Amino acid sequence: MAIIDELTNIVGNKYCSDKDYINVAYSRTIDPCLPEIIPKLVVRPESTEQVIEIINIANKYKTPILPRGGGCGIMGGSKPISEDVIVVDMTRMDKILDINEKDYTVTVECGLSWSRLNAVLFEKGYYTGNMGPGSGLNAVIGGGLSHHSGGGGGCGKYGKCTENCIGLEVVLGTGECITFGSQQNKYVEKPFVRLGLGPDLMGIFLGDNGTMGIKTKATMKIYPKPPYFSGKTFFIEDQPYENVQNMVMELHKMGWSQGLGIYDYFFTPPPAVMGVTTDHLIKSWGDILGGVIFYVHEAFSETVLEDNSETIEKIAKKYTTRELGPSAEEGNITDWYYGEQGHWQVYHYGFSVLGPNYYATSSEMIVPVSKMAEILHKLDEWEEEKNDELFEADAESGASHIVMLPHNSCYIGCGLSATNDEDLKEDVIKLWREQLELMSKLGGVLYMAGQIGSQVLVDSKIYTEPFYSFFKSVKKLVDPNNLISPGKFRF
Amino acid sequence: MDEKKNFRRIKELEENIYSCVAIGDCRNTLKGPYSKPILEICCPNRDHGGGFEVNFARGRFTLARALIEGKIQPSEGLAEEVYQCTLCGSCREVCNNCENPDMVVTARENIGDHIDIWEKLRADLVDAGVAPLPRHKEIFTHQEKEHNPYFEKHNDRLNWLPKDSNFLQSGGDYLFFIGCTSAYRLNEISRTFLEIADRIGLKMTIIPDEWCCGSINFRTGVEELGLETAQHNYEVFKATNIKSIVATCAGCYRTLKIDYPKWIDDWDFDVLHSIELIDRLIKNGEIKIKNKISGIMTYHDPCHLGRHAGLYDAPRRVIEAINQDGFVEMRRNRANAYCCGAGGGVKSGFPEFALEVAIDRIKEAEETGAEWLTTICPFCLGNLRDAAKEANSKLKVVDLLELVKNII
Repeated sequence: MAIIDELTNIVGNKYCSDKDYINVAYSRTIDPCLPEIIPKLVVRPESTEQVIEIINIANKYKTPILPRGGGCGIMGGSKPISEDVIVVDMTRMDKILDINEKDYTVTVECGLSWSRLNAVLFEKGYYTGNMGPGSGLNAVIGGGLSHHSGGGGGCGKYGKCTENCIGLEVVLGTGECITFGSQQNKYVEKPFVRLGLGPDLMGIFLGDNGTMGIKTKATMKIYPKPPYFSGKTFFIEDQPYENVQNMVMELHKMGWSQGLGIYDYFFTPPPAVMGVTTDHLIKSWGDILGGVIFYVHEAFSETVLEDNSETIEKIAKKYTTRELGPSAEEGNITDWYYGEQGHWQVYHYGFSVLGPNYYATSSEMIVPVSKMAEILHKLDEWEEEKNDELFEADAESGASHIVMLPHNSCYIGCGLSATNDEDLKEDVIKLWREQLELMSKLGGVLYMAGQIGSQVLVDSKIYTEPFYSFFKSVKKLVDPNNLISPGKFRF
Repeated sequence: MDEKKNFRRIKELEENIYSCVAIGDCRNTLKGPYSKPILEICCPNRDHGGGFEVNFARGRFTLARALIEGKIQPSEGLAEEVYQCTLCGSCREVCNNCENPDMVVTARENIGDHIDIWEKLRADLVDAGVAPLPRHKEIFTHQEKEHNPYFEKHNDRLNWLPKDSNFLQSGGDYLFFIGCTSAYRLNEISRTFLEIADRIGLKMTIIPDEWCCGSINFRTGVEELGLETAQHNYEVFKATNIKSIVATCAGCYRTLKIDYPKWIDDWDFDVLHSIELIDRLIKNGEIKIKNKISGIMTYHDPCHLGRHAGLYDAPRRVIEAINQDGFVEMRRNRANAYCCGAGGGVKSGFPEFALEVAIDRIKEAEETGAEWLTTICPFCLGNLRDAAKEANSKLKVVDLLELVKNII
C-alpha cells in the first residue's frame, strides 16, 4: 500500500491530497523570499488520534512531517524545505472544547484561529489577553504557541501568548501523546495552572517552531475584558529612540499595566513613518518626519481610566512633540486599531502596502527596553555599512515597529524590504541572515525563528554549546527519527 | 508552447494576483468593532470543500501564480477546484478591509477585483481545454441552440405568461428582462411582477426573443458564448426604443448592469432590479399598502445584488413598509452575507455542495426566529427552498415580490 493510501485510510479521501494543484498552495506563507517548494502530500486530520496515526505512518515510511496552522509565518516556518514531506494542515482541528468561567481558562484544539476564539470569548465578556501574533486574524493557537507570538494585541499587558498557556497536549515524533500542565496529575479534573508537579516540561514545546511535536490541544488563560479603553497617538520629532525609551521606562516606574492599565504600546520609528506618509497611507499624518507612538490602556471603571489617561498623557507629553488626534480623522490610530476597526492587526497593512513588486523580511527580536535605543542606532549603523550591498540587492533595511512587552522588554520589528526579483533573492537572503546574526549578537532574543532564523541561530553559533547540545538531545528523545520539521535548528 | 494554454488573461492581471500577500483574511477574519466583533466565516468553499488552501482565495491566488510561472499544468482536476467557488465575493469584501476612510490601505486596492480574477482564471482554463465542467458543457451545448441553460425550448420562453397579460413588444415604461429562471422554473416571480405592474398601471415591454443574459457563461469563463448572447440581447433591446431595463433576477441584474457595459461599447441602458422599482413606487405613494403582513421577516442578500452591486437598502425599506411584526437581520448580512451556494455555476456543477451551503444559510435564518425568509433572486430562492425542504425547516422561503403582491 502506498503512503497516500495509508493516509487516506486515516483522514478520508476528502482530506488527503497528492495533487499538485492542491498542494501548491502549501508552498507559500507570508514570507515571499524563501524558496516555495510544492509538498508531495497534504493531510488535514480532525483529531489527536488521527495525528498519532499520521505520525506512525510517517515513522513507518521515514517521511518528514511539517505541521502547519494558519500559514501566516514570516520566517518560512511552515514552508516545506523539500517536496518529500507530509504537510499536516491542523486547521480542521478548530473546536473550542471548554470555556471554564470559574477558573478563567479555555481549552481548544490548536488549529483554532485566534480571531474565532476571541470572537466567542468577547460574547461572554472575556478575551485571551494577548490576542496572538501580529501576522493575522487567520493565525492559529498552535502556531502562536510555537513562536512565542505576541504582537497581535495585548502583549504590553499580558506578555507573549505562551505566557498565558497553562495546558498543552502534544503528539511526539514517537507517536506518543502527552498532556502537560496541571493535568500531569491524573486526578485534576480540569486544567487550571501550568507550573507545579515537578519541572515545567511544557516549555520544551512552547516556542519550538514546530520541531518538538505536534500541538493538538491547548488550555489558555482567559481574562475579563475591561469595558473601558482609551488611547492616544503622538508624534516625536527629535531623538525618537531615546525619547521613547525614556518614556517607557518612566511608565514602568508608574506601574505600567498594573498601575496604569497599559494594554499595548507601539512605537513606529522614523523610516516606517516616512513610508506611511510618503505613500499617504494615513492621510491625517500629513508629511510628518519622525517617530510615532500610540498606546491603548484599559480599565474596569471610568474613573480609573480617566486617572490613568491623565498620568500617561502627562508622561507622553514630556517626551513627544505633539499629539496626533484625538480623533481618528486627526491621526489617532488607536481608535481605529482598538475601537472601531474591528481588529487589532496593524501589520496586515504593513505586509501588503509594499505592493506586488516588493516584499519584506523580518529579523524581529526581543530586547531589553534599556537597550532599545542603542540597538536601534546600531541597526542604523549596520544599514550604512551595508549600503552598497543593499543597493546591489535592491533592498532597504529598517525597523518598522517596536512593541512593548510587560516588565522590561520589547519586540523590535526590523528587516529588509526588497524588490521582488528572482535573480536578487539569494543576495537578499544573505543580507537577511546577516541582519539576524547582527541582532542576535547585539543581544536580541530571536523568538520567531521559523526556518531561516532557527538555522542562523545554529550557523552563527548564537547558542551556548551546552544549550545546543542539550537541545539536540531533547530533540532526539521526542523525535528519534527527526521527522518533525527537519532542517529547523539544523536538526 | 500551445498559445491557448498561455493564460493570457491572468498574466495581464499578474500585478493584481501578486498583490496577495497571504495574510489569510479570506479564511478567517473579524469585522465590526473590537467591543463586539462579528466573526466572518466568509467562504462557502472553504467551509464545505476539503478546506485546503486552494479552497479559499489565498490558496487560489497561489494556484494562479503557479500557473503563470509554469510550476503546474492545467488539468480537469485543477479546474474542478477552481469551479467549486460560487464567486460570492466575500473574499474581496474581507480582504484587508480597513473600513476607515482615513486609513488608506493598498492591499485590497492592489488586488483589485477578486471576482474578476477568478472569472479570468476560468476563462483561461476554458482556453486551455480543461474547463468548463462536463455538466456546464452539456448546458452550453443546449444553450447554443435554445438560448437557455434549462434544457427547455427557446420558443417556450413565454409560456408562463397568462393569456390575458398586458405587455408590449416595444414602447412601454420599462423593458422587463425576464431571465431564464423566472421563465422556465420559478415563473411565479415573473407573473407576480407583471401583476404588480399591471395593478399600478406600469406598462412593461417583453421581448419574446430575449436570450439568457449570459451570466452562467461569464461566471464559468465561457466568454465567447456570453458575448454572443449579450450582443444578441443588446440588438433586441435597442429595437424596443426603451432605455430602462428592469429584472427580477439578481443574476440577470448584475450581468446587465456590470458585465454588459464591459463587453458592449455602446451600452447605455439604465438597469434596475424590480425591488428598486417597488421601493421607489412605495416611497412616492404609487404603491399603496393595504394590509401589512404578519410574521417576523428576515432577508437573505443575494450576492449579485448585494456585494456585487451594492444594493442593500431598497429591499430592506420594502420589508419595513410591508411587514407588521418586525424585521430581524441574519447574523451575516449586507456586505457580510453568506452566499446561498448556488452561484458561479456551482448549483449545476456541484449540486450537493450547493445544497450544503444553503442548509447553513437556512440554519442562520432560523436563528433569527423569523417566520419568513425573504430574498429577491430566483436562483437564491430555488436553492434556499431546496435546503429548507432538506432541513425540514419551518421557514417560509419567498421572493419579496410575492409578499408585495399580496398587500397592494
